[in-house]
Amino acid sequence: MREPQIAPPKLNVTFAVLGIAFLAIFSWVFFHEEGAEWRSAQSRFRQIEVRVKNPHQLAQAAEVGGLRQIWLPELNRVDRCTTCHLGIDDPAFVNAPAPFTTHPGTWLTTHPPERFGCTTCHDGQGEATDVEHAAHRPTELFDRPMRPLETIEANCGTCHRSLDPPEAPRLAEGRRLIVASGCVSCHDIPGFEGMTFSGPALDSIGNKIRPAWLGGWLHDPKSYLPNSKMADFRLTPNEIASLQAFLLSLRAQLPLDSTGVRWNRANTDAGRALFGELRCVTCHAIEGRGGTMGPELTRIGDKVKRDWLFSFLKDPHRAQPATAMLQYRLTDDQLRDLTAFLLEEYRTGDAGPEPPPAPADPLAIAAGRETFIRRGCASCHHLAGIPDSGHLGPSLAGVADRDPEQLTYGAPGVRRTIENYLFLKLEKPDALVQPSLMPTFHFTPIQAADIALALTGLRKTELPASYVITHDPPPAYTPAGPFGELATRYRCMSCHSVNGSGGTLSTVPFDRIGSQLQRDYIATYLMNPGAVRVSVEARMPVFHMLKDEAQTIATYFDSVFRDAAIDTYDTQFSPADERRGGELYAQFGCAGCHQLNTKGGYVGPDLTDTGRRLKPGWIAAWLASPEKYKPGTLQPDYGLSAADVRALTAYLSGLGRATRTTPVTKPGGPVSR
Amino acid sequence: MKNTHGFGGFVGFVRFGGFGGFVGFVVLAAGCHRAVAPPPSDPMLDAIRAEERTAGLSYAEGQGRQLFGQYCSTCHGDEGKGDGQNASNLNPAPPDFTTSKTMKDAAYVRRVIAEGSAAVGRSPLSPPWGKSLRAQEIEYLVAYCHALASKKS
Amino acid sequence: MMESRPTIRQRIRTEFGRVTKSVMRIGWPQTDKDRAAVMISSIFLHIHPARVSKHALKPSYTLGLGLISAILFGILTLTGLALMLYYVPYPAEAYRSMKDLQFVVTFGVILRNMHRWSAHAMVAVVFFHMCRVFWTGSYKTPREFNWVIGVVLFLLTLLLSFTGYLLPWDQLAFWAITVGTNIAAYAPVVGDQIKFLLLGGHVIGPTTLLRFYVMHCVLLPLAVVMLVSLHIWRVRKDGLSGAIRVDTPVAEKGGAFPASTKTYGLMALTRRPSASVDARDPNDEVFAWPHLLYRELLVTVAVIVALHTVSLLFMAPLESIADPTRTPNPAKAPWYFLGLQELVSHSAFIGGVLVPGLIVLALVALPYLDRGTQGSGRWFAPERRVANTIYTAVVIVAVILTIIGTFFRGPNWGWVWPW
Repeated sequence: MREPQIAPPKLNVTFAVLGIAFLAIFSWVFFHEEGAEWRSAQSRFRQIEVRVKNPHQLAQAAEVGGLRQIWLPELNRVDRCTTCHLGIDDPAFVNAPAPFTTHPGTWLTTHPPERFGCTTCHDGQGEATDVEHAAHRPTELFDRPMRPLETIEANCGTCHRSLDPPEAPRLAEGRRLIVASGCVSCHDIPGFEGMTFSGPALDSIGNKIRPAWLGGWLHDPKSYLPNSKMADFRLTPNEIASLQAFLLSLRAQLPLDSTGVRWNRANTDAGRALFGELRCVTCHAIEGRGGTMGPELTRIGDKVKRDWLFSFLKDPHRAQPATAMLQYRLTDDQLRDLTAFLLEEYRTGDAGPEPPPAPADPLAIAAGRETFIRRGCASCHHLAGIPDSGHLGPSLAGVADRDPEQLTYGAPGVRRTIENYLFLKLEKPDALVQPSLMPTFHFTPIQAADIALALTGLRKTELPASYVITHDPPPAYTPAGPFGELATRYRCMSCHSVNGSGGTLSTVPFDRIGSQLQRDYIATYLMNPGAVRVSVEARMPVFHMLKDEAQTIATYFDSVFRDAAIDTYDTQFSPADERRGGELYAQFGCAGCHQLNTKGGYVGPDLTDTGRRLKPGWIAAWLASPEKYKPGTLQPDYGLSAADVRALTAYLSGLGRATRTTPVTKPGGPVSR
Repeated sequence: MKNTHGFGGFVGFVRFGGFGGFVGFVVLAAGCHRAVAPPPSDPMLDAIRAEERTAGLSYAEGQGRQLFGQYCSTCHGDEGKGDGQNASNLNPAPPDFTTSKTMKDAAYVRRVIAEGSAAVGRSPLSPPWGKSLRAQEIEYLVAYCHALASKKS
Repeated sequence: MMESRPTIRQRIRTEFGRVTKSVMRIGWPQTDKDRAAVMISSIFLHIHPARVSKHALKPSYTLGLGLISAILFGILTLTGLALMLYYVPYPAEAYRSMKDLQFVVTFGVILRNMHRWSAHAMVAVVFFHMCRVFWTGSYKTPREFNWVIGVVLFLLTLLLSFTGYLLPWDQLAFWAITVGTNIAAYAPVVGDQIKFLLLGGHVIGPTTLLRFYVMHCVLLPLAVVMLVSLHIWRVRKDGLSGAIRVDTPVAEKGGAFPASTKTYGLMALTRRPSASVDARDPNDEVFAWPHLLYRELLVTVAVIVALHTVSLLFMAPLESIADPTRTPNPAKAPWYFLGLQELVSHSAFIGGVLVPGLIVLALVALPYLDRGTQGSGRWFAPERRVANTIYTAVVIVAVILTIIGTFFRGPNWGWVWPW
């Protein structure tokens, strides 16, 4: 007989071992599933909930259990963060440990999670349900790990496309720098379309510049002006020499009206007085102090030729049609004194007599012209005969979506992210890719970081229109007629704005100025502008305007820039209103900020002459909602009732009425001529 | 190269997991070698952190400081010492926040900012900002006030 | 007293016994006859012969590779069916379903990992199975055609894995398929047409995903199931190679089926009038139940345990969502095509056309060129030294090329050291 046909005992042992292994691995699978991080997080949450809530709240609290998610089909997002971050919208968990703590601030009110989710602002992998895959820290696992708070503003920029996004100062500063540094001249940047950056036209630069200065300027602009808008193009000595030859050969005919000027009779003291009176520092800085609209004048004497400066001051618009500089109404003697003062006072040493123009080397000029075109000088500087170089640099549309793995970082050990690439590129444009045409801007690290942060928001992602908050640039305002001529001459729109178009230096837009100010006051003020608010340093220049001109402007303002909503205010006040207004003035502590009969603070305007200065309708409108007319104003919105507004208006518009005929004098204002 | 993978290291082994043990071993060695490399640097983040370190303030406090400079410092002074340029015109004069205990009471400070000092029974010279500023901006200011009061000088 | 009626318990037992018998037909086998009957009466067990050669039971002979391939295919089918419940074959949704599987679906991670790793394992195991068959000379007469079926099955396995590679719709998938289909486009004359047919267009898009999905889930599995049935049927009829043969039929022995009296007409599928049972030595044979089935059960459990372990320890890769504008450097094909990609990097014609074409041709023609039965049924038989040397050399070159392509190639297909 054959042996019984059963399995040998050795196989039974194997079977037993494998069977146990099978059971073990199967229970491991269950354990693996049941032991998910989020489950233990939820049970810890329940323990904390019992501690932070009273029984009544607990009874009201929704049962926590299972995966939670915010689904945003419009944004193509699923955020499961709230599976663990359970107390995020519940103030009771303000002191609870992470991940259960309440979201700080009022962000969830302004950005409700059911509309924005979590990763829209924070990045990270919203679909993940464990700490590691959610990419709370930079990780190999996910392309867009959560942003640290320091750079989170980059994501504000995804929706907030205006230049000055609210509550995102880093982003705002980055965007400001993008415009102010001229990035828009060479790069196509979404959101910055139509924005331009330009340096002075160079058609007659040979007449303007002292040759000795030009070489140093081209080699390193910051050596002349620490905050120069011109970047360092890292030009070679050869390029500098040829550019110099080329630029100095540019001598387009200028009306150099200085032929009859008797320079030997120049009075620099009179020039100094004029310099102060005209309020040049509103736009031009000296030793770093003053405005930034025009170039700093600290070393103007090293740079420009005397005849050119005289001619420019006499009529800036003929030499530089695009300049923001106004044309003062000065006599030739005044211009001579001012020119002499500027050149004498603001220079480093004796520049010596202006050398005669050197004979031009045609080869060097041609080479300079070639360099001028190649390095894209024409992107910022107008020069007849040379077309605008356009966007020489690459478009930055969707730059944040470029593959960080395929970029160079110059140094090993740098985390390969688009932010770091942009940052390093901005700091040292030639360190990453050589040769680079991009000039060096000598940004400070924080400036480079802010710009990089602003650029990181430029993603290709198509957002639903309902999420995008744009700020279209306003249509340009160009006044016509007699007022238009005056506005052009005095460059009103360099500082003032109409309907959002124009300058931002002045806090008084023209939009409703005819309804705000008394007509007579405007005319008087234009003749001799003083300070309405002492605490403000930038002041209206003293134009030396003619009386007719002032009347023309005042009439135009009074008839054109009106706001019906303000004009229709009932100005028949009762004495009771006026009396009560006086009480309210004291009750609200207005004197803390406003001067009245030499008593009170310096923060707001002097109110002594309010009745002569402001129209009552405007006083009422302003008091009712100051933020509406001037966002960011220091005038608080007291939430006044209409009756209180009326009382205060009655009181304020009565101020200064009795002194109607006396000339306006203000503490701290410039002495009149 | 990116991997969704629980253990840092066995990069190749994961992707080509079924390939064979001897190959895996080679990569295992490579993976272990990689694991000890120092974490990469973040120059852009470092720049922002360096900036914030100079101020010694958190993000919210830094935002608060900017708002403080815009709205408050004229009277309260740049550092909250009550020495702003307009302080001398005020009676009572603004308090020195750096030594104030009430500045650490967030609810109190929030109320004074939003409703004015008159709302807590003091002089009306500090106006209400609740209708001008957004709630978040007031939160930033509260945070900065707390920082001012906590500063060791 | 009347005879007592059966108690409820007895009745239940009887009824249960009836049902069991209707399904199982034969109870626990006690005799050799029962054991043979178990094998023959069950459709699932009928793919095994009633008796198998002892030689075939030696683990060192077959290494169980064919069985493991079949088990892996079974696991792939089951996990694949489960995955299909969550999968949407449309680009962004496909990727999202991967994320859902990873983060939300209960056991989703394990399911996907198991499917991924068993797919990779199946490619390797099928390849090793082919090597085993070659090295033991088992493709020789009468098994020539079964070898050809095996070669086709190997190609189908590669295609199954390749089509599945695209489905997660991540960067890895997208670019591996891009490279893979580009290799296919090197085929002479019809290369571009093949690529167009595969992709449903000139670039990978939604149609490609749908095509790959249908191929992966319907066409290719159906083809594999049919060919595997044929493959196993032929094994069952031809027996495993290496069994001891006798020249004369052996008489029936106690309790066993006669080994020599039956013939099996197989229509046109075999050239011989009857199957080979009549030519085997009964003394060399044992019953498939329990000797073979028990061992198969053990291997199955072992494979399942191993797969679960690997799937718990190692996550299936999932990169960021496919982005046609972001080409990874280097873009690599699935690992089993990296040898080819390495060749293509040197010469598109050699790597994309010549080598793969010749290899497939040689494999198909092999059993018809290498005639006779010398050296069949033994590992590395000395009579087959030349054939084994050539084959081994080709395998080693292929493995080395694949290793180079996998680990030693970096950006721009340049040489890198993996450490």
